[in-house]
Amino acid sequence: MNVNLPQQTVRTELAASLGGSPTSDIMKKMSPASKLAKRPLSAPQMLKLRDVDILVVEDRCKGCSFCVEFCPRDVLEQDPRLNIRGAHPPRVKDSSLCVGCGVCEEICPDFAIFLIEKGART
Amino acid sequence: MSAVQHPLEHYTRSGMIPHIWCNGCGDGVILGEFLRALDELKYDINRLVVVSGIGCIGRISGYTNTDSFHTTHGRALAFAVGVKAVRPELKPVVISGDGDLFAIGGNHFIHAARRNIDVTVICSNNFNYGMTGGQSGPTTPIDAYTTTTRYGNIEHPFNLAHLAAASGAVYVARWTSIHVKRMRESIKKAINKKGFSFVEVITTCPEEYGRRNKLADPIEGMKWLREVSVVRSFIDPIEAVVQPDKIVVGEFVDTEKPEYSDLLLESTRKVQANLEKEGKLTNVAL
Amino acid sequence: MRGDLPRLRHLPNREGGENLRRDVLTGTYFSLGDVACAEGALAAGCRFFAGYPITPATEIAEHMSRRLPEVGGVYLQMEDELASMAAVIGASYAGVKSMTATSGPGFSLMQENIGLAAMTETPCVVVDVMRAGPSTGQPTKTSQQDVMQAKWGSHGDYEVIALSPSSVQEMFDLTVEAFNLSEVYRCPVFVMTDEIVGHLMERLAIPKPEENRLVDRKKPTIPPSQYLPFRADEDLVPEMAIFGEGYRFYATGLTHDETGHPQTDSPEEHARLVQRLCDKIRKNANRIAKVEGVFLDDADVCIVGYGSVARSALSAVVEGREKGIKIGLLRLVTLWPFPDQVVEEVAAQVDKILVPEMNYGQMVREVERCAGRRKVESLPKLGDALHTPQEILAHALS
Repeated sequence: MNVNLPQQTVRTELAASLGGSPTSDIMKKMSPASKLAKRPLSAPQMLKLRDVDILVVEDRCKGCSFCVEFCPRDVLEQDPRLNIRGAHPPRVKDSSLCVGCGVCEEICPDFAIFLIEKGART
Repeated sequence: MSAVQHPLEHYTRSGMIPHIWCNGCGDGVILGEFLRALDELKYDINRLVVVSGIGCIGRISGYTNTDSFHTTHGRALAFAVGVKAVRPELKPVVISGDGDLFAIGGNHFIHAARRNIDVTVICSNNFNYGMTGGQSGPTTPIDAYTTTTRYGNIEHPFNLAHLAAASGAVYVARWTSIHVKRMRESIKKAINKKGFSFVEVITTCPEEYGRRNKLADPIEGMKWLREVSVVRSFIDPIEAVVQPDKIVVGEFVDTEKPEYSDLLLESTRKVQANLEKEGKLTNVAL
Repeated sequence: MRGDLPRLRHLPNREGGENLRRDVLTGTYFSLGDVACAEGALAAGCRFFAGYPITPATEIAEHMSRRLPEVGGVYLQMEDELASMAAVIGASYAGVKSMTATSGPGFSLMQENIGLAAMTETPCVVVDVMRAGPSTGQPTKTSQQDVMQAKWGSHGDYEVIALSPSSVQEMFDLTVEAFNLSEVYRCPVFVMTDEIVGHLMERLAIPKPEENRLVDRKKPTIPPSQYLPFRADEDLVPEMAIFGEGYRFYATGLTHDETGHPQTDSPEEHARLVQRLCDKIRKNANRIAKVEGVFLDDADVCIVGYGSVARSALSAVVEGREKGIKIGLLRLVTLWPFPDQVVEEVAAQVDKILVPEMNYGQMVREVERCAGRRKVESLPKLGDALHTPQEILAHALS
């Protein structure tokens, strides 16, 4: 149960220091595990789960940027344009990085981004 | 190009998306995963009755393309019990919030669980009453700030997984809105499970709870969920704590127990068999 | 049948013949009022009861728990009255005729969901066997103290139908009528009885099934793709789809439009909905409201009574007529919608109206509204005591 990661130290320190929301203190000391998510891969190691296009329903987007943040391959970025809601929808930075994992589609709360098999568009 | 639709489009009521939930609200994620679960199960949608209560998540029944009912505050489960009792072939899914299910609705929750009636409950737990502006509720963590706990909350919160398990639920799981895949798998299991199943989803509420507890940015909220969650499936639910620095997620209960509608049918059949023996039962459709 | 069902003792059936159906126990009985109400529900097609025990309505729940499995129905004892009413709405929307039974304290608890039933146009029957209140009051003693609550109990503007049985036979007949009315008008219908009638044992005649006129709710006549759950016909009542038949409709307690979806911003939509919910009863008030007039043609004095008080009033009127006094009785069979027109007509004709009630003056206000305060006298009686005929006659003449 108690694996010896640096996280252990982080939590004990927090227990002692109250005042201000505990969550803000945690965020200041992000564990190494989550930093690994953004490590870029070089092209030969790319393994595609699905070969897909990314479609964005721009005017549904409320600008939360979950898709941008949680894409494990850093495929998306915020479009500098504003949509009809005054939010920045996502746009594809580099589609060759996309492995078709589907996290963007799943994590979007607003049905604003989804994947479609290449060639499946009618 | 515009002929292509979102793969879950036909599971939503036409014209109702975009929904009313705030930017970054976990409720939107729950809606998406619920519909995705139905899609993956190839579930017979006409069997479902989505029942919700009052609260932000309560609006969900207006977005799903199913038979839906939006009840008074706290009474979604009692309504669902009535539906299931008379139409055991239907599957009610109650999707509601921490306050609706466990404050005003607490009594109905524990009794529905006790009866082990075949209903799935998905609880969006965002630690406050979002719809009315962010007041404290039965799951607000100690010391947290809400509009009615300006000096810090002094009430102990419920451990919902423990409460559900103790009341008799046969399937209990807790995930957060960042655990999209595992939440979806639990929802699928819960819907297919015969008996009272409970899936708690800890969600962010950036506009209300988040804003007052340094989680105003939706992404910071999701990162916090990812950071403090730890998967401990099948530990004793009483140890599956929910605290600002630790949220224990996982599946905690997955067991079997005779289900209410089955017991009811069995009991009814016995009564009628006895009447038939006495020659008193004719001309009545069963 | 003897000893088979307690409190429903079979008397020799003058029509002869065996009971062929378990849901309509044709025959003549010596029955408890509460039990007659339960039998009436079953004969009307009720197959779901959700309730909570409360004196003096418990016998209805007990009898339903015994009889519903016999006819393939469901009895659910819920954890409280709020849950009972919620379950009744759920079962009704699942397509089953449903009811609950309670007394004052439970009636209060049910009010919020009664509002939901009114708002979602749910056919359902709620029986209130009235006892002395307010609050816990005198649980085993009679009263008529909830009659105004039946109309005004929940918040907001809505209309309901409330019937008032005066005898065990009427407990049966008016419960059947209550189910029919709730199906026609898609609204909650109340059977407001008092503990005396509920706990009385009297002769009950259960007719043959073919003699019972039963009504079912309007089913959708169009396919799901075109169905709008709250689009009303000319009679202001929408067709009702039920769960599990592919209609996939949405119903909410929020103000809504024809599609059922919330309309929380528009004053026009709110007015339109609330007016229709009320008008569907108000515009049909004359057809719904039932009264019984006895010796009214040439009366100078009229007693307006309902429930068990009407029985005393009837004795008073008969006694008065034997003494040559021109006295008549207007018995309210329907409390809501109030029979305005009839009361106005009677008021125009008589010099005095006496309203005896087992409360501190409730329906008398409605009578005053229609007849003018000058002509109307209230005769309240609190505590577990029924007005005597002599007392009613004395006040009628003074």
